[in-house]
Amino acid sequence: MYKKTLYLLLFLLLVSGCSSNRYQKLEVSATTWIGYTPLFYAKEKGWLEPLNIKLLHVSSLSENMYLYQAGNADAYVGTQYEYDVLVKNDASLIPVMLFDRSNGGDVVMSNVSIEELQKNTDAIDVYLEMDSINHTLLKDFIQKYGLQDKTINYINRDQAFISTLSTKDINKATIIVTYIPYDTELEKHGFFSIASTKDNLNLLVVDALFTRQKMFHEHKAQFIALKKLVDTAVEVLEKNPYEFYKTIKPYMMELSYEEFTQSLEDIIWLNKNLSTELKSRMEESHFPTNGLI
Amino acid sequence: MLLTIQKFTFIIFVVLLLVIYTIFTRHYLAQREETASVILKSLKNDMSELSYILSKNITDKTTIGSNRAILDRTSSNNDFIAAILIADENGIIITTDPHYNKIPPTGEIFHDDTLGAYNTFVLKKGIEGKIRFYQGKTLHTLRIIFLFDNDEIQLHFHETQLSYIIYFGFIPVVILLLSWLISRYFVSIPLEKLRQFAYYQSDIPKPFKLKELEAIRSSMVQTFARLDEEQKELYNMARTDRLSGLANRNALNEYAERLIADSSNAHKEFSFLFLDIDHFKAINDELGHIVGDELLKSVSSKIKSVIPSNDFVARVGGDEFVIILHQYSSLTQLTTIIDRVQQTIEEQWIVENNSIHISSSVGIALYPKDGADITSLMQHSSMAMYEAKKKGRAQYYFFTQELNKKVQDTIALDKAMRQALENNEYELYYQPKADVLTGDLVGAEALIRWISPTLGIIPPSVFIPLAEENGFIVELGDWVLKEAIYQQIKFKNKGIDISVSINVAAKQILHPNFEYKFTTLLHKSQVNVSKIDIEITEYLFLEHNISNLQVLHFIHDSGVEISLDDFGTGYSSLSYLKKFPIDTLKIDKVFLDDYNTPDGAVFVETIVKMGQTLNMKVIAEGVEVQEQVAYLKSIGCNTYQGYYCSKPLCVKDFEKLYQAHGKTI
Repeated sequence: MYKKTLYLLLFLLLVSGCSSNRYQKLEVSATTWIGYTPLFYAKEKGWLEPLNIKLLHVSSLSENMYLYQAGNADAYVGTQYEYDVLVKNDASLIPVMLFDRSNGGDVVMSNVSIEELQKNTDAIDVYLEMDSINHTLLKDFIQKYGLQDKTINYINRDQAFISTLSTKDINKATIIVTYIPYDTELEKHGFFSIASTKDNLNLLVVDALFTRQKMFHEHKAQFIALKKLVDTAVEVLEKNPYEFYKTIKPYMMELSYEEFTQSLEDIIWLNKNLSTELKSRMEESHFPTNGLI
Repeated sequence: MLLTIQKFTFIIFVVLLLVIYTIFTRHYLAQREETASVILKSLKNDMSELSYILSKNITDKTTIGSNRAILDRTSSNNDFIAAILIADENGIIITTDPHYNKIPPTGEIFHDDTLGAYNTFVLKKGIEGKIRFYQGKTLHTLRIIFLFDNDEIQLHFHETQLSYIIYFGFIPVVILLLSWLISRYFVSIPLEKLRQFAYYQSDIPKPFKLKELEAIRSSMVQTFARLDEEQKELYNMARTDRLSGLANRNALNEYAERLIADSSNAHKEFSFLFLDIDHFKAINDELGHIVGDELLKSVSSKIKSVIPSNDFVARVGGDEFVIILHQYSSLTQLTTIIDRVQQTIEEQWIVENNSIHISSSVGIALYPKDGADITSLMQHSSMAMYEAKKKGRAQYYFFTQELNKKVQDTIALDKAMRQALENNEYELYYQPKADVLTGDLVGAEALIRWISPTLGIIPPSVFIPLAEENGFIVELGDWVLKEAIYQQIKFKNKGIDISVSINVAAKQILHPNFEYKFTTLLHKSQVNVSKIDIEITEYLFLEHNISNLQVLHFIHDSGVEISLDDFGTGYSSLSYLKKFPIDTLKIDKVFLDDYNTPDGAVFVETIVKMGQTLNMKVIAEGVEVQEQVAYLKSIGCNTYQGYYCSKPLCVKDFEKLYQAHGKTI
């Protein structure tokens, strides 16, 4: 009788334990960026559920960073700027995997030309996300085009808001720092690109997934699996971009297939290959590459 | 119904679990509802806050997109929100998750406050609120819907549930189970071991961990060890004679049974010896029991040392031993061993400075010839021992069938003798006593006769010695005394007022109740005590001098005369005649038989003169011829009795004699 009772208790414990997922839940936050679309693709395909990975979606890079900082996300995507901000407070922060390098994907737009900006004597309104790579990009732009003596009126807004701006409602020289796919929307509203990471700006913008070392070790299997899913998604994109586009379209606002394929030209995928040159440059920028999956 | 401790603790265990689970289940359900309420309230608060912000930011529907960030942030910051939808009457305007692009039916969206919080999450898909904004003066309303992340919510409750199961469901079970196992290991099992130990006393349990149980175990071990020792001691005591250290009767029975069984199978013979120390009673009486006991110890030890080591000796009575010999090849060898034993006993013994010489009588019975069981062997060897004693002691005697017959006849006689008293087969005959000078009947001696309807007349010489030997003489003597006293009264009533002499045995007189019975009889019968004469023999003087003196004085003081029967044949002593109150001397027949020889006449005349000198009457017994009467007259003897006067007569004949001849014969 005693053994039967013991077996029953063990069985109950086993049954109660079986209902749990094999993986602990992993929350990854991402923003709307062409380089992160493999994550959205994986989500839409249902690949994340078996890994118990929940993909959170916010509009801005800074919001993305705050979400992670607040503890509402276990890992976040961002550029080396968001990494530099947070690593000062948490030295255990590491990049886990690389997505892409911006090659024109980060854009400086305006309702006037660079010459007009240089001649402008009034204060210039600049819409950007201050706590993001936007700010770094803007500083590079100002320095490169000699706008240091201009009065800059910094207006900190998220890209969702910024993308709703229209030249019709603005009657002064205005700069917008944005990235794809928001630039496409802004072009529709009358703004045009005056500089980008592809040519005018010599700025290195790398997109990666970041988390703490402890978190990485606790969810290592999930991160490795996620990396494989990203690789698979990129392969799908390269083989069948339309199918990829149809899957991730809801996350890309009103971006058309042509605009999508065009925007792909503005990034370079880094998920598989990392050149020695780029690696050296990243290390010069104090961006660690050793722990990358 | 009696429960074992294990079952009892198991039932307590189950009952406690049920109680704990009932409490925990109630607590869990309440906690789940409370948690659900907090989550639901949090969602409502987020919705209220978001609705307010949007209502202030929105100027028309097309500007909703510029607020997408706050929608995303709200959704991402709350694990329980799957998506936030903003919709108008035409459908969804914006969604934080493109995956959710349809508004659930109204019934699936929460609006029932009576529904519990947890049930809301189970039964509904989301909650709905309103965004009120003004476009100019015109109020517009949009729907804001928070869709629940049911997976996340269920996971949360599932994790809570799992925590409850682990911490409040499984851990109590483990704790209780451990408690039960610990109590089983430290209490139940030790108690069961103690029970088995108490019941079987086989394996001694190892020391226990708990002090109290260990104390019980230790006490039990000590107690059982002591009981075991006592049991062995009792076993030995039950089989050992405490005085001598030899085996006792119990051990003898066991040994004899085993030996009989073995000898029966092997068709072998063994001898059963019954040894009795001669006159040991006299040693006890003269030197005291301490000396007697010490002597027995020494004799026991000696007997043990002289018999073969594998043979057996037991002390079965005061001075009685049984020796079983089975290692002999011939009767010669057997008698050699017996001789050695008897010679050893006959050596001089020094006990507490007393030099003692003893001998022994041994009866021998042989198995299986003389007895096939312990009872018959004991009986027959005992018979043989008594026969050895009868033959003069200090010898051995082999049991024979003739001896057996003799003993059996004696036993039968003893039984018949006692039965005869109940059947009134005894009768008193009276032999007249006559005055030598006048020939007058001056008295009569009552003499017992046993007239058996089957055996005929049995003379007193046959049964009186046996009665004296086995003590029946007391009972029989009482009957004689009573019968003779009442007969004297009957004689007197018939005009025969003569003295009646009654023979009283030494054992009868020395019996503790004699004085009481005799006094009661005299008082009750109202007999003239001067007409009663008690005849005693010289054997009475051999033993118990002080007691004898007292009882004879008692008899004499009561007025009854005392005659000394068979004077001169026993242990005659002038000091007795001086000390004891004797009224009459009776000269035995043997002296009268040769009265006419010079040597014989000397004795008769001496006795008569001594009686005259001591103022005693003298009666001559066994007078058969007139010359004897004449002789008695010549020497001054007063009275005689014998066949010359009359043989003993029954009452009727005695009366006839008296009436026929008058008082003078």
